[in-house]
Amino acid sequence: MSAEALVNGALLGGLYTLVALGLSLVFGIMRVVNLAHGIIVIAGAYLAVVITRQVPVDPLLTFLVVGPAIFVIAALTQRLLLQRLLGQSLEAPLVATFGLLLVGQGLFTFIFGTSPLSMTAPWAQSSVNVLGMSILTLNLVAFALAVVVIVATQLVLTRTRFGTALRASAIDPATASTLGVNINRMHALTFGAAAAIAALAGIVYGTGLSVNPSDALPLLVLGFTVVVMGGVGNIPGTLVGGVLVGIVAAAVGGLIGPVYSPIAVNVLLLILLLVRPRGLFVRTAPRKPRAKAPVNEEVAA
Amino acid sequence: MIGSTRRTVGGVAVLLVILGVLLYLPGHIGRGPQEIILNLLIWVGIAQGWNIIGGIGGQLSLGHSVFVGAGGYTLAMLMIQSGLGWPLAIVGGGVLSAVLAWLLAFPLLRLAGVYFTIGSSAVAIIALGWMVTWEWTGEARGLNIPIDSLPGRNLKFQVIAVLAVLSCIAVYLVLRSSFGLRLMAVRDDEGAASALGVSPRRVKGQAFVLSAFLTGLMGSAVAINQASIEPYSMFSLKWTVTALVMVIVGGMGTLWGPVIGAFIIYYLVDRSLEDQPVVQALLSGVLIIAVISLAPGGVVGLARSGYAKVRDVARRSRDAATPATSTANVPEVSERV
Repeated sequence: MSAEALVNGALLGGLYTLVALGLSLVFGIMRVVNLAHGIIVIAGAYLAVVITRQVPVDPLLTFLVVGPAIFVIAALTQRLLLQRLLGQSLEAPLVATFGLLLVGQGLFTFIFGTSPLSMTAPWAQSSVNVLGMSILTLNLVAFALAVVVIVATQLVLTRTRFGTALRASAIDPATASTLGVNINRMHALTFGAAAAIAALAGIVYGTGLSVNPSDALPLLVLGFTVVVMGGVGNIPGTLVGGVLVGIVAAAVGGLIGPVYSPIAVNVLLLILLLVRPRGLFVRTAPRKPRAKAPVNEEVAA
Repeated sequence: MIGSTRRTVGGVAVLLVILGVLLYLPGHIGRGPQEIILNLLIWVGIAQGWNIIGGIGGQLSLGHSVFVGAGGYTLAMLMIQSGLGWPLAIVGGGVLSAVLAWLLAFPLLRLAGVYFTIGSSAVAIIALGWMVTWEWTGEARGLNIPIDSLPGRNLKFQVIAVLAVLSCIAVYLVLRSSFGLRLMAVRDDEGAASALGVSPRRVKGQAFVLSAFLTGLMGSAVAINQASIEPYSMFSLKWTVTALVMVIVGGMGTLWGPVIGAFIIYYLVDRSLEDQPVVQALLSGVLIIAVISLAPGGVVGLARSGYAKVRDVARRSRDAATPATSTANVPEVSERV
C-alpha cells in the first residue's frame, strides 16, 4: 500500500464526483432519485465512442456535441414523462426512471453488444512525476474537471439570479411559483444539466476505463455513495465525498485485492447509511430524550 | 383481522382449492405444460414475495436477488454439508433469508424510500461480488446437489405449488390484517401514520423480513428445481427486475396482480422472446413506464376501475328509473381484495 496508489485513488475520486454531481442536483432540487443516472453516464461514453470512430478527435472534445445532445434528450424526457409523475406516489418516478434504465440497457446492448468498449487519448495512457510519485494523467484530468465543474455549479447556484430561483424552487416550490419562478422549466433545466454532467463523466470513464451496459447500476450506487457521504444537495461536499470514496476504493484494492474494491464501495454505502445517513458534514441536532421525530430529509441545495 | 372472519376463511379456502387442483395436475398433463406451469409458479412465488415489501409496503427493493440466492445456497449447503433432507433445508433457506433481511433492515430502513431502493441494490451487487469469490460455496463454479436426495419430478412440482400458493395466502392475509393496514398507511403517508402511533421503521422492517422469508423459500425451490446452482444465475439481478416488472404490470399491492403479471411477463412475453433477451429488456422497460404513467394500478387497477364504471352506469340507470327511493347516494366502501 503506497502513498502513490492513495493519491491516484483520491484524484480518480474526481471522476466519482462527476458521476455523483448530477444525481445530487436532481435529488436536491426535484426530490427524485434518478435510477437511470448510471445509464446516462454510459450513454455519454457510447456517444463519444461513436463520434471518435467517425472523426479522430480527442474524446474530451466530443463533449461539445455529446453534452448538448444529452441535455436536450434528458430535458425532454423530464418534461414529457417524469414531470407528470412527480405529484403522484413516491414510487412513480422511481419506477419510471427504472424503466428508463431498462430501456437504455436494452438499447445499448442491442447497438453495441455486451463486450466492453473504450476510447484512446494520448493523455489517458501517460503519467507524470509529482514529488517522486507516478500520477496517471487521466486521474489528474478527472480531478481538474471535477474541480472546475463543482466550482462552476456552486457559483451558478449561489451567485446568479437563476441559481437563486433554482434554490427557491427546491426549498418551497409553491411560494417560488407564486413569485414567478417557472418550476417545470427549472426542473427540466436541472435534469438536462445533471445529465450533461453525467455525460462528461461518461466520456472520462470511457477513455480511462471501459464501458458496457451492465455498469449502469454499479455506477448509480457509486454515485449515490458519494452523494450520501457529501450530504444531499451539498455541492462542495460532493467533491470531498468523491475523493474519500476514491481513497477507500484504492486502499481496499491495495490492501485486500483489486476484486474487492467495487464491493468495498457498496459496503461503504451500507456503513454510511447505518452511522451517518445524512452525510459526514451535517451537524446532528441534539437528540431529544424521548420522542423520535419522524424522518424528514433536510431540504437541499 | 379486518372485515369478517368468514370472508377471510372463504378467501383462503379458494386459494386452497386452487392448490388442490395444482397438486392433482402432475401425471395428468404433458411434460411440456407441466414444466411451463412449474416455472410460472416459481415466478408467482417470487413476485408475491416482492409484492409484500414493494407493492403493499411501497418500498421498491432492488435487492431481492440476494434472498433468492441465499435461499438456494442455504438449501444446497445444508443438503451437501449436513445431509439434511430437502423439506427442512427449504425451511432453512427461508429462515436464513429472513435473518439476513432483519440485519439489512438496520442500514436500509433508516431513511425514506429512495435510500432503501439504492441501498438494496448495493446489497445485491455486494452479494454477487462476494459469492463469486467465496471458496466455501464453490466460488464461480457453484454447487451440485446430489440428484438422488432431491424429490422426483412430480413431487417437485407439488412442493413448488405449495410454496407458491403459500406466498399468495401470505399476501392475502397481510392485505386483510391490521398489520397490512398499518403497512399501507406508512406507504401512503409516513408522517400521518407515525403521528397515529404506527412506527414506520418497525412495520417496514417486519414486511421486509416476511418478504425475504417467502423469497428465500422460493430460492430454495429454484435450487431444488435446478439441482446445480452457480452465483451468476442465483444472485442475478434478473430475479428482482422481473419480479418488479411483473408486480407493476399486474397491479402493485394486490393479491391477483402478481399472479396476472407473472402470467403476462413469463408466459406471453419472455417465452415468446426467448431468443431475444435484448428485446425482452427493452419491452419490460417500456411496459413499466407505460403502466406507471397511464395506469398506475396495473391490470388489476384497470379491471377495478372498469368494474366500478359499469356498476356506476348500472346504478345511474336504476336511479333514473326509480328516482324517489334513492335520493341519498351513500358512497360505498370499496373492497380491497
